[in-house]
Amino acid sequence: MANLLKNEFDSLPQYEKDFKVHHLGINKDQIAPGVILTSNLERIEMIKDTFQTAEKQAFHREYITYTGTCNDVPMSCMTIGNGCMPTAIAVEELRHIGCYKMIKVGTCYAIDPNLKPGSIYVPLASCRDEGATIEYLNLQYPAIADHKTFMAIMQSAKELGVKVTSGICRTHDGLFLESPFAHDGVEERIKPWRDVGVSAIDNEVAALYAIASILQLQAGAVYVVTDNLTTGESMDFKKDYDARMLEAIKVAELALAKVIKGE
Amino acid sequence: MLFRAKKFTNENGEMFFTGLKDGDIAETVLMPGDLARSKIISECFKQAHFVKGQRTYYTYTGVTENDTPISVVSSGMGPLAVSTVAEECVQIGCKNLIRVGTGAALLTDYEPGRIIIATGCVRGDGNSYEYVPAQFPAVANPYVVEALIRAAKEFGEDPIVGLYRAHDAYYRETSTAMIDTFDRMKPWVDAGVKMVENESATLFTVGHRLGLRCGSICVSHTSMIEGTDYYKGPNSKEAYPEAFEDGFMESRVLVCAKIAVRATEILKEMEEKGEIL
Repeated sequence: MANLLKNEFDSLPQYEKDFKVHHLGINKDQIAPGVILTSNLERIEMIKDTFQTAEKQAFHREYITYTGTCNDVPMSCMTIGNGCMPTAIAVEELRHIGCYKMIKVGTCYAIDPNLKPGSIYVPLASCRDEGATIEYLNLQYPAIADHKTFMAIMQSAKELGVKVTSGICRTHDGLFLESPFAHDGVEERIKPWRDVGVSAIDNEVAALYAIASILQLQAGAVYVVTDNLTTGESMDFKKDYDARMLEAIKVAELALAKVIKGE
Repeated sequence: MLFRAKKFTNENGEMFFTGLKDGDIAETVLMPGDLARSKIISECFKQAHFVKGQRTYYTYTGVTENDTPISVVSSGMGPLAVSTVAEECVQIGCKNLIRVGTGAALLTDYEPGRIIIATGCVRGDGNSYEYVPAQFPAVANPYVVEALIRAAKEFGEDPIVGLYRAHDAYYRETSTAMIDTFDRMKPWVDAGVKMVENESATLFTVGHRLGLRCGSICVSHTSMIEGTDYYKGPNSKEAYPEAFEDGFMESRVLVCAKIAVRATEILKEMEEKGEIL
């Protein structure tokens, strides 16, 4: 009979010197209770500049970590690189060092024709069309945002006057198969998902949500839609990208502050 | 594109299975699995009247305390029955479909009768795979979840909020099932699943495709992982004598129903305040 005392998902940390975890390169004293995550390594500059204080803790593999204060609460921001593999490592190692609340900011592609490029999109849940989470549990398990975090994001957007859309996303691994620059056949590949009411696609959020949920952590996400793969529209990157991304970051930071404070 | 089946009615304009027609139900429908609970739940409504009872579908309609229209339609057990209620009710004006019922808690330290509200569901059913692919998440509408939480707190309840697991073969996953039940349940327990029941995975996925806002509020008598012995252990008769008196579960289901009725009003308030985005 199964041993109910031992949780099978309770991975052990791989400590290096000074109890720094193997991939993130930081220890428990270098991380706040909550963290803003982002894939793009360059975007971390933009995020830490919105903090009241931020000190660089490490730049190890694709993980750059700053820790400081934001919205008057201790907060960190960290890059997680591209895709579900480094995302899964980030969630696991954040748990090892005691960081249990996380909101990702980033970009996604819309497939719902009504979701315009430049929109701010909050994935409520995501289709697990990637590889990483299958190693944890079979597909029956849903990848859903933490309820409190999701509600904090929607509330924060309302308070900041930022219009957001929420919906069901799909996470996949083959970026060059479903993107504005993809191989032929994108429409055939995205149509079945659009038909069942999936509104956007990305490359990390299912792993973030499912693994955070399995490990009983709190995760959410705020995205800027850059392109619509159905209509072929793109946002004006030079004119709008920074402003929209900054709005998404502000919403995520206010929401994370609420979650950290337990509001 | 609107996802709708053909409206399948008899010569009187009544939907084939539920026997309901336009105007029979409110925008918000509560859905117990047990046929007998339809009448009991309707007693929480004002001006409740019996609408129809055929097959497993017993329908009453009335209004809440602040005159928000509300209905109850029993589904019967399992995914096929649930998808039938969702498919037929959406054709005649249903917008919110909330399951009220019972399941088995998968928690240590579970106090008998404590309310569990679903944020999503593990898809151990068969029905939902005909509507959406396996990768698709069975997720409750977050505003229905929020309304249920707020309503539960108004009733002085401290609900557990988290994932359910729904599956089809009742006697494969109950405390009286085969010896390996616990081994099969353990991954779900370890991944934080709070309750096992038989309807919510279908409700959330079919509901998503039909554009319904769905949620589930259920209670359990004891926790499945605390074992089957009602006379010893943390959930035993000794520890919670009141939980072993007649009518205990029915009284807790009734609290769930009252919470769902109040949540209907809260949902309407949230809609009016523009909180539903």
